[in-house]
Amino acid sequence: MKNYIKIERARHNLTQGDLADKVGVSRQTINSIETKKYIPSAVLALKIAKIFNMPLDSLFELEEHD
Amino acid sequence: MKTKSRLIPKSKMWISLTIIFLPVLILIFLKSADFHELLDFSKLSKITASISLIGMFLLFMTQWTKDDGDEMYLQIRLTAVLLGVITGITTLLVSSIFSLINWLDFDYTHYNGFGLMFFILLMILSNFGQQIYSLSKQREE
Repeated sequence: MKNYIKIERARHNLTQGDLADKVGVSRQTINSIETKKYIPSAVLALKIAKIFNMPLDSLFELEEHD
Repeated sequence: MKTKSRLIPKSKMWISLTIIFLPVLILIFLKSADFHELLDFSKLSKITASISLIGMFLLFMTQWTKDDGDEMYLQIRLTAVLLGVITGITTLLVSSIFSLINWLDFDYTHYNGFGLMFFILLMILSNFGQQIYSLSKQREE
């Protein structure tokens, strides 16, 4: 699953640690989501989308093989 | 998901480690102190193994790093358990086949429940530890 967290994070001037603190997970989890090693739960995805004030499908996108 | 609260805090990791190693040390002490006539070491070693296995399980349920406990770590734990189950089934299957064909004239009867459970938990812990280590090496991008 493709995501635009890294881009949005840069736009909002947030570090991985800042975003992690805001959504209540570890920095490693945010890093793994950005590098597509981990697919977040619906709850976490919604929390991240809320931080960036974006609809979920604008932040996460299904790829062909998903 | 509040998984952090379900784990044993990192500061209490010593409890799990004590439960693993203390019974083994006591058993070694008793064996070296020559209590053969008073104690049944076969039964005693089974009790020791059981307590150590509980310790290994508690270690698995302990927070390993300060970040440990969110949903990704829960998934890593799940993957490690799955690997442990696969390892256990494979070990049983391979040892059964080997004992069936008497390969290498090796006695496979020592694959008892304790040994198998120890092997499964060891696989779970080593896999989990390896994943935690690789996560801790991740740099911020």
